[in-house]
Amino acid sequence: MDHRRIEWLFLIIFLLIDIYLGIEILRSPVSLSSIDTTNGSSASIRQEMRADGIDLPSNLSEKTATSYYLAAKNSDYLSDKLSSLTQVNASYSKSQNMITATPRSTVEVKGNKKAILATLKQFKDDERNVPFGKNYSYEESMSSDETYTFVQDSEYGKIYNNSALLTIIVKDHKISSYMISYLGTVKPVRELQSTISPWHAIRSMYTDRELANNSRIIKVKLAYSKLTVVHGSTILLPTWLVWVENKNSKNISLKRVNAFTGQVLATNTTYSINN
Amino acid sequence: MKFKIKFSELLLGLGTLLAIVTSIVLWTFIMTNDQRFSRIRQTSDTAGKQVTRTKNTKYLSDIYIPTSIFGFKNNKPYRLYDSKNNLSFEFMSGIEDAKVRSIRKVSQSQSSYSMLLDNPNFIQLTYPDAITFRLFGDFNLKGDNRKFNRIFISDSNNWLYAGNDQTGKLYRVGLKNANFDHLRKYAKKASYKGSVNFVSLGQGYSTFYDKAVKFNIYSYLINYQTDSYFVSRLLGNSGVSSRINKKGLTTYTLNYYTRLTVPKSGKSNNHNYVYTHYEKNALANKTPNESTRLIDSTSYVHQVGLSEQDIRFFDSDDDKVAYTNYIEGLPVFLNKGDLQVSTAFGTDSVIVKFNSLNLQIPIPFDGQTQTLRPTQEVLNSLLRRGMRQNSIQRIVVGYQVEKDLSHDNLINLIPTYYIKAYGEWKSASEWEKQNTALYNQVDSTGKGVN
Repeated sequence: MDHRRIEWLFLIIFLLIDIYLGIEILRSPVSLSSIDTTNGSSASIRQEMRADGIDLPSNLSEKTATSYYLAAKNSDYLSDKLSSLTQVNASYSKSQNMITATPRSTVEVKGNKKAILATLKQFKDDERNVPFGKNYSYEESMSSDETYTFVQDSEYGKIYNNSALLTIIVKDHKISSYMISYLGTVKPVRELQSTISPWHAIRSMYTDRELANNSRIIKVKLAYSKLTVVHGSTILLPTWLVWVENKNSKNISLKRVNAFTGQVLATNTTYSINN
Repeated sequence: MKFKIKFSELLLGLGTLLAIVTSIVLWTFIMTNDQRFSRIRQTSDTAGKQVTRTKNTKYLSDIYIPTSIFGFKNNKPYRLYDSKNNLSFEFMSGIEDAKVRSIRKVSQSQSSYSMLLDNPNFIQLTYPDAITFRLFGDFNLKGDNRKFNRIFISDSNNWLYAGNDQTGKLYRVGLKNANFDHLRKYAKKASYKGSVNFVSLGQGYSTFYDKAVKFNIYSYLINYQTDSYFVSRLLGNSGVSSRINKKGLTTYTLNYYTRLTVPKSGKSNNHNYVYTHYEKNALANKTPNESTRLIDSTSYVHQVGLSEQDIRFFDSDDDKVAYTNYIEGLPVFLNKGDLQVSTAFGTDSVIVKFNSLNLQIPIPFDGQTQTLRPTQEVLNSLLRRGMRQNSIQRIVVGYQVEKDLSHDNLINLIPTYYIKAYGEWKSASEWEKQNTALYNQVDSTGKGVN
């Protein structure tokens, strides 16, 4: 009788072992190998992003663009222009390569946003007020009710850098002062090259863990960023500028992705949006 | 009753035995099945690669792109150059939204082909070496392994000619929605850099400059990826062992099947790496045609992880495919004639040779130029030194990398003639130093010198 009981015990134990081993064989390798790693990565990364609470703009393009490396010769462009600024009291800082100026007579800024921008445009385009003012374009995402930021424009695209910025301060419906920095005329360094697509840039940020969970991509735009200074020239490279909003804090940060290689540039600026 | 008891005991015994045997079989199956383990490893590897790969991988149509463009002035062909508009890109964007309607062979005669080369009614674009229709633009013409290396753009947007220099075969490619208007406009305005002739050599027609011609010297700030970067990309991070061979080169090995030989550090560092992956007979079966060979080879280029911004397909022979950086339409040669990446498929291995140089930051052009002799003079001087005309396969103007003494990481790209002969690329001056008699002797026996 004991012998029979032991045999039953053996049968049950080994059947259980068989079931376990059977499940083990059928399970993991099959499911692992079925992961599609060659194609469809775009779709699966989009899904992963969604799972991480990252919202993408609906019109995020997967089309590549073309762009140049640009260079601007470093020089005191602004100091030469001081004498022609007859309608403002201006001072030049050589160390910062920047002019700070206040209007001599009151410039009123009134009305809705459109009217305000029209007045500011008229002001900045006058060479007696702002040197090289016509070369600057308004950038809403970097502006607030009191600070109106304009970035240096070129025939190849806009430049987003502190050395190429015009900031007009408006207080009590009047232009209070402005600060301007100017890079000079830019020229292509080499021939036109292809860039990665905006989607590719976002994907690079995500795989490099540069996109925090629960964030929203507000805007992606191709513009120039400063790379380095070599032989007395500032070298600019095309970057995908990515405005990312933290869904919790509502803070917006600007990140830059090298549009040729997909590497995320180290520098980024954070600011709060007021409008 | 007794029999019944005996029968049930027998069943129980058999059942238990069966359960024990099954569990042994299953256990043995699990333990001896490598695939089970390797599959897990491979899958995670590929996934890892995919992530890094997505960062800077170029599309095939960016790597297989025409690099030279020729237009006519007074019925003479000239190399066209436009510093503002990249004419090769204009061609690619001209076919971006197009569809290929048909590809029809129209001729196979070398004489009519050479007449077409001098026909001023066409703009010509050339690929560095022949590619297949499968790699033409983004059309994904699967299974079309017919080769061509020259495009002839007519006045019509509905068709173009694709020609093969070596065979003289000419195909008429019917297109829908192609638009070459911009290309034609820019080509008219482009600067005409040197009048040329197309001279037939061992590997198709080479571009010969009639007169001495000036080329710009460009400078770059460079950097090099570290050994550990390539080891981790190509071999992974675990199970890698290393040993130093007799020549003092370090080789990293993974599972005996995959290895990477890294260059010597210090002053004699030539930054040349050799990656070898053994796979018995598999590759010979995997690469049945030219198209798949080119595509497979490109996937190894991606795997190496170099900056691919300027990398273009450059040269293809039997089992070898080479890629190099193209700057302003000219290929960059490293050391004494090395190319950025070359892959060789053997029956039981793939060998990828590559150089870690990265042309990181372009320096604005400072006006320095280099004047090169007419191409025929270079050819004549090589022939005088004993090189056989039929051994000369191609002549191109390329850049030689020279260190700039003013800065550690600054290099200058000096325009120089490069010649492919006896299956090897060397600069004209380097060939002049070689013992061509030895090359000729070895060549006639059908083996390379090295």
